[in-house]
Amino acid sequence: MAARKTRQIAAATAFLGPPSLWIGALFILPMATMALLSFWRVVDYNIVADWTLANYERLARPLYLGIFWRTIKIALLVTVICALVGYPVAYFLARKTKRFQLILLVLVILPLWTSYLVRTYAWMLILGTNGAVNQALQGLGLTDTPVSWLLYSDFAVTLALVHIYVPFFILPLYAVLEKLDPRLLEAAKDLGGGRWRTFLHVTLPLSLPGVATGCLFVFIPSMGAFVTPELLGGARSIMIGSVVAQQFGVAYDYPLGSAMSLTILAIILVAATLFLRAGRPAGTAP
Amino acid sequence: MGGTEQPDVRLRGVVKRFGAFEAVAGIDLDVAPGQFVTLLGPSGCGKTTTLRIIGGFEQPDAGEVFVAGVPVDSETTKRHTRMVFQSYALFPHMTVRQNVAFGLRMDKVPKGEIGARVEAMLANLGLSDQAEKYPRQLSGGQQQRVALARALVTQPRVLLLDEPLGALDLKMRKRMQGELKALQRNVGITFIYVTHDQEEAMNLSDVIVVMEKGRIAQVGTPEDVYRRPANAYVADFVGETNFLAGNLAVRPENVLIGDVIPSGAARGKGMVRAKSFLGASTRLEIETEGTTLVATLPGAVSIATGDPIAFGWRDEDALHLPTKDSK
Ligand SMILES: Nc1ncnc2c1ncn2[C@@H]1O[C@H](COP(=O)(O)OP(=O)(O)O)[C@@H](O)[C@H]1O
Ligand SMILES: [Mg+2]
Repeated sequence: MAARKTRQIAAATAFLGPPSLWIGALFILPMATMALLSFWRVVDYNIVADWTLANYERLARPLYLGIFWRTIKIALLVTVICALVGYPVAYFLARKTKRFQLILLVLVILPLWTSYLVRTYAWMLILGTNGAVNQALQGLGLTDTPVSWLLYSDFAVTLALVHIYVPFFILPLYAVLEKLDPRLLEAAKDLGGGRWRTFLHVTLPLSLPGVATGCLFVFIPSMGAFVTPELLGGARSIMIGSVVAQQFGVAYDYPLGSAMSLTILAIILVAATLFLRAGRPAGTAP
Repeated sequence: MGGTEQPDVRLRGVVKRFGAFEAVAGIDLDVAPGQFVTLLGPSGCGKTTTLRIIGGFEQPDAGEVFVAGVPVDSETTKRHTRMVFQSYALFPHMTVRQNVAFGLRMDKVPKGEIGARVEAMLANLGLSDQAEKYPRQLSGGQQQRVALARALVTQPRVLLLDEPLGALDLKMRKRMQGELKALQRNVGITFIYVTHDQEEAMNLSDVIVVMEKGRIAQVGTPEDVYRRPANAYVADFVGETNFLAGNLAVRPENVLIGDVIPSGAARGKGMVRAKSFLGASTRLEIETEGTTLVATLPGAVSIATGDPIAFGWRDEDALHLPTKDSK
């Protein structure tokens, strides 16, 4: 009996030990450090363990609040656009094509193999004053002078983020739609449901978990986006990721940066709860 | 089978291929209104495919299908058939009430009427207490009933059922068989029922369609099919059969033993090789001239394994089967 118990503990340690260490070292430890830092302060370029709420109070200033608010707005906009663009793609991929399924899947996944940075730079080439879009517009005689708001704007940031993250919306939704029992659709058709109403009353509600997961997968990285807004955003379209990076870089204000990071985390947790709750169809286990 | 009436379902030369394989290899069938018709056959003989063709889910490669005189194709939206799926295919995100109301909503029936018809159907199937539950909260038998209610509330001409009791345990299956039969009499519409269970088919059907490899082997009442099987395949599949020399066969319950054999019915002697008591009957395996003859006798018998035994059967109880190619 005792020997068996020991063996079980040994087995559990062998299985759970490495992942626990991994999560502990790479997730919990940095998080705990940041949580601590966010309550300390910087004195003469030294971080001092002097307990304070000042960092969070600084976050409440209009400057930072405004940036937080814009970041949330852009992340939500990116999420909504990804959903609107990604749903038809995932639907077509899962339910409408057998022949091109593999090719289309590869086309969705392929961009993920190229660097995020490369894709961001590509948008600079496309949207710039001498970029492809402006040249085409001028070539067609639609405008004499280059359209300036294409690049270095919220528009550019939103467009690039949609492009970069839309696969993260498509894939989880595709997985859900692919698994949808075709008998349910046959049953709906048998009971007189046309295409559109079958979609509305059966497919759509049953795919909501995939939509919720996809939204989260887009919203989370969009909230933390840093490189894309840095490169494509204008002077006034700064996002919170850049501000965090500044605190850990030039500003050398780790405590403020930590407070910002934890606030972003809190926003994401709230959003995750809301998304997942909204995405749970009735009648399914929580 | 009313002769002059238009059949509810008519199949003419129906063929369905999957690749090179003929799942349905030329079926002609007429189903008269109000009948309980069962497609019976072993797994893979094309029962589901035939049913799906009738329901308009599959397009046949050849032949014609009519339901209520109207040709069926997969694009027809206004159908006279409703299907009860093998796995029930209840909408998991809808309550029982919403599931049952679905077809009426799709048919754009006025709201008040939907409510009344759904309640009546739920009451009829004993589901009123379950109306607000979701399918996953129901037992298999209850889900089965919801599937029936969902189909029947739309008042189809023909109800198609694909092994609807397959997922239930034996006791529940027996009970649901009784309920199904009663329900069919009650609503008075045509049921086309698929099963591989010959006992179930005998128990439920007005007409049994025995299928073999995509073809119809025999169409008849349960009694026809059992007492006058069209061939050895039917005799073997429907009930147990002792095949004898030539094209004779005899059912185990018609085998007589010992001193109850009337004169002229005696056929030979053998030895009891195995005996099993089944409660209501006793099953004997009698070894004779290198073959085994199965006999089922009512109640218990006092014969033991290894005993010598005389056996026989009446002439009128022997089945005369046409040989395969004389069919
Ligand atoms: N969609 C399909 N694609 C390929 N083969 C199929 C398909 N549906 C059925 N079959 C084949 O057709 C034959 C008959 O199937 P089915 O009608 O389901 O038989 P049953 O219901 O009598 O068990 C089986 O051999 C099955 O493998
Ligand atoms: Mg089947």
